Amino acid sequence: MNLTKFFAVLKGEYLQQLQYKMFFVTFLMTSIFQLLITLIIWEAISSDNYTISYMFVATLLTFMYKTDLISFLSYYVKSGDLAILLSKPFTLHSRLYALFLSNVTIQLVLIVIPIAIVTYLLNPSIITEFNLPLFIISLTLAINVFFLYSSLVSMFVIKLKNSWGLINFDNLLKNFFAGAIIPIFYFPENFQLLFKFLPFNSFINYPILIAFGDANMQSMFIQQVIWILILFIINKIAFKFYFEKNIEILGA
Amino acid sequence: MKIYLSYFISNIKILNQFRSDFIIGLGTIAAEQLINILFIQIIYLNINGIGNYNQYEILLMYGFLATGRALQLTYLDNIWNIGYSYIKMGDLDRILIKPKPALFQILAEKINFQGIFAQIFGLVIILYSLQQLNYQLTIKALLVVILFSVSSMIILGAISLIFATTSFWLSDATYLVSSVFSFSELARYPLPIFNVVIQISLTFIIPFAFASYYPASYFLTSNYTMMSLLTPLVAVVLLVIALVFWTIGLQKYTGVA
Repeated sequence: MNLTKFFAVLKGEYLQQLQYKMFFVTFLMTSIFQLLITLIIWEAISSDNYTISYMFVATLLTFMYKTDLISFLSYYVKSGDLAILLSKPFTLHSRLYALFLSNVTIQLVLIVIPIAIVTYLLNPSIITEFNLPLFIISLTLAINVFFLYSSLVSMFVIKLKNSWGLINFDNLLKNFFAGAIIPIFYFPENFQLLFKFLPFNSFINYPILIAFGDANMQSMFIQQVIWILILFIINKIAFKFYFEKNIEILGA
Repeated sequence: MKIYLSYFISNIKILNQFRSDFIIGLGTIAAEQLINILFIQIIYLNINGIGNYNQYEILLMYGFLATGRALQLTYLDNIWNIGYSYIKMGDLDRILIKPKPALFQILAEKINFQGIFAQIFGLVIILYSLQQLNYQLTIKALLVVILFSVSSMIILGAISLIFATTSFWLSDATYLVSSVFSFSELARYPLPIFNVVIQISLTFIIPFAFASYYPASYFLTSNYTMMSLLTPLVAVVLLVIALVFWTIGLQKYTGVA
């Protein structure tokens, strides 16, 4: 990947997305509502502070991940503009990565961090132990695993006319298996063992457990790195043998 | 009715054109229901109980909310598009030149058949929960389930219509509708587990509790049977408020220009 080109496209994405200031105000509002509801429910269900802290961080991470690569790709496939994207001296994956990275970082800075700080100031007991440096490392890996998984799923849009179902199905799976709906440690042990063979743990569960000082953090880091490698290879293969072979641009 | 039927047929034709999307949509609905049931099961593996309620009582509450939402998804789904598609993008102009009531046309234009599958799922959850709670499944009980489910749909639909109507002033209130609707998640749980402010809010301000908790209470041995009997009345009152508010909003509409 040519980094100069990549940073130029990334800058363009930042400038484009920061134009929609009202979008961030409404996004911030809906995020606050969602966090409030999650905390109300979990405080009513569980008296365990560890669970509430886990769900607090997990919900914040779902706000950060809200980037819809499926819709993006679907729009370009339907309009035929994908031909222009593919003809540029910049790979489609790099373009998707720039879009994803700009979304994630903007949402992290403008939505997640402010909400986290305000909630912590209002209720310091919500987080008692948090290893920030290790969390940042794990989160960086998590963002990359998440991107590679999402870009892989987004390739399915070439066979669909309407991407609504795929978007919802994908979100549902990611949230459920990553620990955003229910903490992974609540699942029966055999389920937890099965989840180790899926990439979802790396999105939310591992960064949280690492930040909370879990004893198995070394293995979690290794799993995140392995998933990046596996998904990177699968992405390359899927793009060459599925996406490029099956893509039809405006019937051609 | 004849016009609604012709809209219904054209919706079936649309469905036929988008078969793979329909199948994925069905898969999504099935997965969503399954995950929500698993959620309750997993919670009860780790926690002694939610309030004093067992898992089948919680499942019953979820069943009513799921059925109400499914009916809403099938017949009232287009309310979600009022803000963006009809008001902001001006599609309402096309609707207003036709001789039938605008709201009727908007609702009839989109019938979501995937919701029918979700309705069946929701009803199965209700009946299964009642059976597990050793409730006698008589004809009367079935009629009450249907009455409460329809009331639940009207309540959810009326609340979404009230907030969608604010688009006449705010241009596109879809995010507002979505934010308000996120509070309906609280209605999946028994009201007494929350503090008084939330209990009052869910009963009197945005009455989501009448879409799930109070209807379920009718079948449980709780002190809320009287409140549960008010469910159809609450539905009618909310519907009237929503329609009056919609009429006021529509009078304010001046087109996209």
